[in-house]
Amino acid sequence: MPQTIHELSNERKLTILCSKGTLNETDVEMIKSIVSNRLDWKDILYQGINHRTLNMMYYHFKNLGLLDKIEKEIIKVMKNECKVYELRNQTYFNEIKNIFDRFNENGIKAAILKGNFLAAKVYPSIETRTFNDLDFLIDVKDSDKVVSVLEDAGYIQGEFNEYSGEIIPGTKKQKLLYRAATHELMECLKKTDNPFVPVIRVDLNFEVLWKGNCPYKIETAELLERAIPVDIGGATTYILDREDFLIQLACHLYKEAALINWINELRDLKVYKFADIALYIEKFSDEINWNKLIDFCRDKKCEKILYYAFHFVNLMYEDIVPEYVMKALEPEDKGYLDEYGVEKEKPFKWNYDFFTRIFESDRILEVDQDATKIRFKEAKKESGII
Amino acid sequence: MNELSIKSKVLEILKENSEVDPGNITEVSRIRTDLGIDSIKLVDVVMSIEDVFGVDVDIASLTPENFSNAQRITQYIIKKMENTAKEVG
Repeated sequence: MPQTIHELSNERKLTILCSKGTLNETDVEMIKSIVSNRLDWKDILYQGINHRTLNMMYYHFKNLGLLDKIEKEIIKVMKNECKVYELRNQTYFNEIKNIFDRFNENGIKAAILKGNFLAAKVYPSIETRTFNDLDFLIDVKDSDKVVSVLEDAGYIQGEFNEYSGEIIPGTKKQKLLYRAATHELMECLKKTDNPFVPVIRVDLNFEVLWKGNCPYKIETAELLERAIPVDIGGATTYILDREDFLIQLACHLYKEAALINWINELRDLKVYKFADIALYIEKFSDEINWNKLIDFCRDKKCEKILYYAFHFVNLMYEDIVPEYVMKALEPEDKGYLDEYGVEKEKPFKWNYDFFTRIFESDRILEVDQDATKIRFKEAKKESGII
Repeated sequence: MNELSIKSKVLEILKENSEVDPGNITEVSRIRTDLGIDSIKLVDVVMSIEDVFGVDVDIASLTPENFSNAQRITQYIIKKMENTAKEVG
């Protein structure tokens, strides 16, 4: 069972190496050496698409002059994927300007989360971080106002029917259910004429953690208060401050990696989520106040969440999070790193090591059926706003 | 409709959606912890409130300040009804 990336197959080693933002000399040599070997490109393509790292791989291949070492048809697939995401992301960036101009006019402070900011300011090129929606953090007290501003901009709160290409407006009951039982409002959708973005999706999160059985509490109002302005596509937008942004990325990663709901949907372990954290830390290494982050985590008692994310980031990319930070966040019992399930319930243990879990979609077959049962029982019992 | 009759109808709605003995439900019983009304049932409570009182519950107002017990729900409904009357008037 592989414990480090050096023990992985060449295909999987390449997937992780090429998800890095900056390559050192050793990385470059390793990539060149791997590419000169006979490779299973169907695994590389599958992993690249599944882990959303294919475009970064193409970016590095191009910069390292490796395009002529690879089969032309493979390069064509990668190039097409890059072009599509360049167009998609640009459309989304234009829409960010449209939306934030309206938010600013209406005195609404919302923060851009995750991929939208990372693609604009952290990843090396517009197409290298893919995303499928706009993710904003809002104060739940502003929810009606935010939805109303989006409706004025042509959005409909509802569901998109992939087959008919129509937006089905949500009922009042559905909207209330999203508010009461999840961390986000019902999605706002707008159709476009762009064949690569038939519908623009806006996710309105009002909490950075999850709803229901979450034992931690991070106040959204507190995060928004500290949010910092940033120019994206000519609009004044906001993002969480340097430490809060990182905390949100880590919370998001932990939530989806360790909780049964996301594992069941195979949305749990994706290389890009770990790469996001690594690239963000590299980009803002001079600005991140690690002591502030540690104090915040101690105050909210969520050290375990951050340690989880940072531990695996360091395992994949080596020496990203400083050792003193890891020590400060380190929980006494680290058994949970190989566990999954439902918070506050007896966890289930993975039979596989981390790297096998991340690359083998068969992990879903190993999920204990009891965990799934508990998920539904507990989510129902514990969820609620009151 | 006066405060007393609003509260009485709210209690009726809560009793219909709770598994607790109706005799033990009071205006200060906490919706979730005392009455066992989870998020899904809470949505049914809100839908009934909209139907019975003809008010529109905004998504943003679904907070503990407004919906933690019958007393608070009653105050919320009164406020909503007053606002609606002002708008119409």
